Amino acid sequence: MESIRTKQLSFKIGTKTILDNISLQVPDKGIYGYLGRNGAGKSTTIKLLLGLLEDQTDAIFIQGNSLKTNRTHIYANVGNLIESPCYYTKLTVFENLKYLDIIHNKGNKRIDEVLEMVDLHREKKKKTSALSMGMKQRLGIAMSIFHDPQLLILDEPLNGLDPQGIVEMRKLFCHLNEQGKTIFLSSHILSELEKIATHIGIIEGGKMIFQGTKDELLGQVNREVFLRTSNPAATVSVLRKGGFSPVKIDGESVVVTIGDDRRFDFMIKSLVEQQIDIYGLESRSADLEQIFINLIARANG
Amino acid sequence: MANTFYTAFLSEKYKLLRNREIFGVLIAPMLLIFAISAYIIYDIVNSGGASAIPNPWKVLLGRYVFQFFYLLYPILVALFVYACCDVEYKNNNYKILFTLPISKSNIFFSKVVFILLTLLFSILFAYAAFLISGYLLSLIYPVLGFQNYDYRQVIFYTFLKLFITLSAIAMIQLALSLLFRSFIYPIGVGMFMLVFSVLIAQKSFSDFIPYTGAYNAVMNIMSENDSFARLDYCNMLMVVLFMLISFYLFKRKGQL
Repeated sequence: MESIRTKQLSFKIGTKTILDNISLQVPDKGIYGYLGRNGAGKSTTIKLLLGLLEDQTDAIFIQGNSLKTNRTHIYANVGNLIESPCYYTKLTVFENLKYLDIIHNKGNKRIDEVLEMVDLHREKKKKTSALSMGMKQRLGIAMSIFHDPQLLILDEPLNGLDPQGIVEMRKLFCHLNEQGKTIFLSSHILSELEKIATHIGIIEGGKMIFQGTKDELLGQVNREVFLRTSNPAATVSVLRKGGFSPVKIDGESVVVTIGDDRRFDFMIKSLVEQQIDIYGLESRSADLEQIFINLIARANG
Repeated sequence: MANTFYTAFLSEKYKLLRNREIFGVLIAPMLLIFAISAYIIYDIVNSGGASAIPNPWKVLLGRYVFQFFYLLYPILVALFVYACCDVEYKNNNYKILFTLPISKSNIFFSKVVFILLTLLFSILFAYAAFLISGYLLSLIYPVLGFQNYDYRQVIFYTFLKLFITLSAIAMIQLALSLLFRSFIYPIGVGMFMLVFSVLIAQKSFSDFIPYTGAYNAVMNIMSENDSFARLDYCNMLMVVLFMLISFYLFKRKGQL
């Protein structure tokens, strides 16, 4: 079962289409990275998923239930952090979580547990106005996971965190995922998403331009193979005859672009047949950032 | 977890009790009454002694207290109601509020009940302070004659009608505070209506303006009026009307 499913979700403001037939499929117990440029429709999607914007078409299903008719039931099992962290400024860190505890009835032990998880236990008695930006972000995350939800919807959860904080949060998300939680998150830090996401969705101009597993996305693009051989000139000649293109010499290496694994196997066999010794081989895939830029460029013609 | 009104009320109470403004509306009127009593004692001491006054509940204590109240109370209520909405405006906390597993109607009505209960306690504290002040003055200066007049019924109805007036004002201020994010508009409109209500207090249409009720409290205590009039019934209606308007505005807030 999918944790989040939208059936051709569209959203308009006046005559302007913000989202156009978005069919999200967020698998249960996965980490789904939702990518898009500023203004692509990410935050609108997230606000719709949380009921903060009205779903005009009854197209959103969370854990199998229609959001339109099961709002309060769904919220009991969903944690969220949207854009900037929300907390009550006149309450301390502890009191902010105590406020949620009155609703979710989890007990003071859970408050301490969550504060430990986000490394905010030392700031427990501090007023939120005295917290640094990164600490406020941690508090926002603590509030989103307090009631132990099965689904976390996080919009830019790494904003304002220092590098150490980013690593800690990455570990926390992975830990929560290992416990069986589904995480739907958007982030501008693509390298971080690449490290933790199992599935990726890319939105551009209100339309979904890619959705699938991370491997499917990474497999969509060619990779460059750097070869060090006994005879670079002969290597170039053999590879060109074999239909590889482009092939070029870069210093002591021959650089060849390969589409899939079968071509890779064919390349090795061709070189061995021609008795060219291979001294070194390095395969470099395009990273998520590069793929994202390429896909956006392709979508915009 | 339960999506109940009681859960919503407990959570609202926990959050809103941390606002300083609540103590302003709860305690300031009571402190004001004690301060006026202290001033009466100071005045007597300075003038060389007390002398008998016809109905000191009205002429001495009531006059001073309600002249302050008609200007002070509506402003305190406006500030308090705005503070109850402002906690959600800061950091766009409506995002927390509307993603809780509690229905919007439970959240809204728990806020309303909290506001009305706070006003009720405020009026009860002020009512008690008024009676205690008169009793203490009768002990310290029996010559003033507080003990010679049984004015409890008029005092009770004056405070009751003031509570109804303040409830109506609170609901209007709630609608304004939900409509405008900026502090200036709800408080500005409240201040304007307060001054305007004094100017038109004698006109018959003033019964439809709840803010007039605060000024009428002075008239009620001075003219020993303990009966309900059109203004009081209008104010009851205004409580319901503006509560419904506020509910509509609150539900609309969910669409960020």
